[in-house]
Amino acid sequence: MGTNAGNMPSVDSPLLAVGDPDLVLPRRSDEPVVLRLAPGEAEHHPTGSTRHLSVFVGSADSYHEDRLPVAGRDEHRGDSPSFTPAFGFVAGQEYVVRTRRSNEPDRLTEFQIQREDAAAPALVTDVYPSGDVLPENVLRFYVHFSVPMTPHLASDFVALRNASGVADRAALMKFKQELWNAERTRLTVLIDPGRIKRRVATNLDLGPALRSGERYALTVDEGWPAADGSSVLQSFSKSFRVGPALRERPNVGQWKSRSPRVGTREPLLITFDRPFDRHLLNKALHAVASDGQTIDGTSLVGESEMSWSFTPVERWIAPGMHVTVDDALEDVAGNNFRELLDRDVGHRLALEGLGPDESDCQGKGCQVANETDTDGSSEPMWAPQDSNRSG
Amino acid sequence: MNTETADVKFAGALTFSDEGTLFVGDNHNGAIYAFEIPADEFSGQTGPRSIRNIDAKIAEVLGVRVGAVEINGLAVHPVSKEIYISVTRVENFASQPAIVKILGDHGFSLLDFSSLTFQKQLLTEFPEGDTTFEVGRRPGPVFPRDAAKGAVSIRSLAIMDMEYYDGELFVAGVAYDTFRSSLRRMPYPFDSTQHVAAVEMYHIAHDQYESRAPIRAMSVQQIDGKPQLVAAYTCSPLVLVPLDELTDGAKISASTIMDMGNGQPLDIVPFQMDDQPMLFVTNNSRSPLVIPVAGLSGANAVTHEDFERGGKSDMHPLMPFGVTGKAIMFEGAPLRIALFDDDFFVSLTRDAYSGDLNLDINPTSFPNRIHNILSEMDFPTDGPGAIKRPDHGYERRQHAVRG
Repeated sequence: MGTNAGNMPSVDSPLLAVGDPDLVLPRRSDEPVVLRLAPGEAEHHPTGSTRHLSVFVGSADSYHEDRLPVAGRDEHRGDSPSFTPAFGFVAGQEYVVRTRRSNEPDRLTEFQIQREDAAAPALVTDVYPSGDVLPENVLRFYVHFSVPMTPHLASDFVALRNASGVADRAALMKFKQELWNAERTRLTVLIDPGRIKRRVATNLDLGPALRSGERYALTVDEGWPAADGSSVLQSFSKSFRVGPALRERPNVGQWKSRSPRVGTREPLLITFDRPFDRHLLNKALHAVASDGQTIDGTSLVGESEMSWSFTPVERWIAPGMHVTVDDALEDVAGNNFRELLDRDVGHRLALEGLGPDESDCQGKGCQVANETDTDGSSEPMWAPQDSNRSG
Repeated sequence: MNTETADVKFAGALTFSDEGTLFVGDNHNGAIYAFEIPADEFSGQTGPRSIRNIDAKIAEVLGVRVGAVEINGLAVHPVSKEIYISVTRVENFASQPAIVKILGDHGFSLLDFSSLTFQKQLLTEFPEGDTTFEVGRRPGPVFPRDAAKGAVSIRSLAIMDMEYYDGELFVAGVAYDTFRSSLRRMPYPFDSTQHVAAVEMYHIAHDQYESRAPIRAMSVQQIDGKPQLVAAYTCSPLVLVPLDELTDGAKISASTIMDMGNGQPLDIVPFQMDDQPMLFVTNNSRSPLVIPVAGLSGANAVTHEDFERGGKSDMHPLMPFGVTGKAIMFEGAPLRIALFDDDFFVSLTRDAYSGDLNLDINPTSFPNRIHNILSEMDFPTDGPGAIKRPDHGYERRQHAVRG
């Protein structure tokens, strides 16, 4: 090329400068990029190659003329063109803005949306059941995390330990598929039912996992990586004492209620005789009006999952309001209103009562009444107090 | 017709009606969306074209790095000849559906769902969301990416392929948990009528009757005087299903007419060669097959009674079995292929050497790029030696034959 060096074709693209002081860069994924132009400086809605603002994926170094800009919406706010991406900017991804004005070199300005979630350290935020005393046949623990966690590692980090800190490696069920919620922030851990059910093989070989009167802890060891790899878990321990097993079906006749007054929005409070499963409680109890419509309001699960309260959006009116309980609600030992998890028959090995069955109550829910396996025709145990009550 | 914006959650299988209605299969919502897409008649000239690094270009438009785009489907608007590619845009903890349109070599744009009228048809018998695959039996160790199958929902195979034929949409995929492999038919415009049939077929390579793994790709063709689905399965049987057997609740025994013994089909594209209807069948692990539709008439349907017991993978002497057509050259590996017009295919092709994913438009008679191939044809015509063609008077040098 030596002889042609003096006749190199001229390069048509303007020179690049780095950094545009007139840019307002987004700090969140859904914010626009705005170029503040002086009055009269903006062209009339330029598109294509004369567009004022174009955003590209990658660093300024990776930019070249053949790159395709990020798709999105061009708008003008007064004299200031703005660009909003069709899908939002991805946190942690490098972007470069090309600003173009007539008769000036293009400028390239890099930006990046900070990952907010990366700043949050991986922590165990809650464990349910939350009570200090749990029955000997407690079945299920829920471990809540502050951020999504890396799957397939639970059995390496989660353990049941005795008062001396010794882990019982056969106490917790190992599933090929771990039991996570969709966000992977809640893990369900089951005590091996074979260690709970009396007179079955593992119960006879290894003894029960928990013994009444002793202290134990559910522990999560340090070092479990968050799903995005940005942090590792700090260690966590939930200590509890073990009390007698729950060997009777739950019975709403054992529950106590404090009725609110008609015309107020006082909370309705129901106190249980035993702790119930936290996540089933969230959806198992409903306040229902006389016409069968669910009453709008806010329900709260109380301390140690031993109570439930409900505050209506509208004031209470009488009469005929009642609370329905889904008969699939389980206590912390996995007993529901239809079935005991562990019946003392000695030969049933299946996990009874964990799946749906053909009982009469199924799908309808059972009313809060003295006996739940009636068809709901008995008197509701709770109604708002009203001196003029007719029914 | 709806006037709100379509709530598409996953843009998967794509197909067009002849008039330009775009059908989009959504395996997350369990729905098929039909978008009416106004289009100008294509006025350009078709010729071989190639857009290199198509996945990187799509990622640029979507504002993510190249690895954060998964390509799910490819179709060509029959009127405007715009190329539609359905993708999943992956973010840190979320993913979003998108459909990218390409006109010419540089006209990349997003299909704006909010600007289009549409109809939505929910699938009946949509699988339960928490049912996942298991890691099937395999020789050798299970690697993490094999084990990851255990986290894949069965729903992700609810809609594998769609074919519009004579006022109806035919859909292959998996249905409710009690039966899996299904064929659906529904009139378009949708009127909420939907017929779902279960499909079983004899798989020669596995020596068993299979009713779970779905049809991967299909085409409706006139065979033995009636419209039939020609359908391809993984590992890789080809079957026929007469459309008149596809009634609601039917349990269809498909006619197995071919088996390659292994591989996963991707697309079946009908085209014409010398005025004869042909099928171009692509596979993620084999050369494409060109099968004359005429050869499917009177094809011998087989059952287990026609074979000795035992599996027969592609190295078995019996394989490939049946109406296999011709395995033809396809340089690189096709990810997706569609008919661009009467004479050209458009494909997403993985370059065999660079690994780039390229969009290629190539003639149906020779669907290849030749940049990676250095043959006799590429030597200089004025160099040593010369082209020696019999029809140009060249006679082969005679060698003495010793008796």
